[in-house]
Amino acid sequence: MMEFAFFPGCSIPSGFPQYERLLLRVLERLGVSVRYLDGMTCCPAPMTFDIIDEDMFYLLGARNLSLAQEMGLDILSPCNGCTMTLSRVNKKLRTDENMRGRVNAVLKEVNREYKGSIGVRSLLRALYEDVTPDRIAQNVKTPLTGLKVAVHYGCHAYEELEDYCGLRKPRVLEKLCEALGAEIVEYDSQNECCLVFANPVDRDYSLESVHRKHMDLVRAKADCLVVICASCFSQYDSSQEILSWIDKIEESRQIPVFLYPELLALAIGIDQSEIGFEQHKVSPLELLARLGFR
Amino acid sequence: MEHFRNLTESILETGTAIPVPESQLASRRSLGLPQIRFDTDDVKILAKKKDPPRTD
Repeated sequence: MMEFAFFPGCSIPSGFPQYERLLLRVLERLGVSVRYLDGMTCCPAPMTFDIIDEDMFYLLGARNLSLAQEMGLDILSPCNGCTMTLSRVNKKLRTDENMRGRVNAVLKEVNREYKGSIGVRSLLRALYEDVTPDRIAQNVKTPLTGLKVAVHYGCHAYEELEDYCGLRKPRVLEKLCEALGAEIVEYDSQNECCLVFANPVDRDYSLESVHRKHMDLVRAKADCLVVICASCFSQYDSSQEILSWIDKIEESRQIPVFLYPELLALAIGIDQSEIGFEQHKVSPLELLARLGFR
Repeated sequence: MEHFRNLTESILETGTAIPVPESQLASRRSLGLPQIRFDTDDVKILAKKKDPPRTD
């Protein structure tokens, strides 16, 4: 059994508790046990302290890393943003003695020290490198044969992807989907940001971007979009509903969005009623019925 | 910028950029999820110690 310190972040506990529970079930089924970090703070989220107060960015990140350090476990993060922040802080403090000294001088005030002894892994990386697509395929009870999947990594995933697959065009999520029996379709705007962060600033602009992606998915004849980040999921799922309200997308042409662990759960035999599909704005039930899931 | 500054203020105040609403805490409890505790003490000490008030 692999064990990790689980860093749930802010957005999953506050917006997706059913998904959080599903994640724990899926990980357990695949031989991964997790222990929650107690007394964590926000990672801190990208576009907060990193653009306003760099020292505080490293301090808060280092404090979170020191919690996992005490547990002697690497961090597993289901959120792309948290993974990016914590990995960035870890890399910086491992290599920049001056910054590490400054951070530790302040951390001492709360009886903590950053040592750089633990690593940070995203859910995507843990599924790919630790669980592996082969082991996932061995656990599949009902293959998703005939499902045409388009994938979207989310921009915060790319920094870590570069570390472990070193590719400009990663094939990580693709291989994980293929392990479930799904077929990958390519489309033009795969690498575009979901723009969820732009929603409070310019909603029209972010809706246009989702619309463009939707049209690409239609042209590629994708049955669904698979993401690994809850914020990307929320953006593509709920924005399609809005685009239908304003007559940009016919309701019948909406494309279901899945978080990868949802499809994984379905394929390894977790009951559909426990997955949380009823919370999707774009219902995937018709698509799933076509594949024989009822 | 104001939006992003508000997020940093939330982190210093509540330990999180997106505070978990009471309804979701109840939902997490009913789903049998582990309770999560965000730190609200250390974060304030760190913010104060990092930028000590000027005495001159």
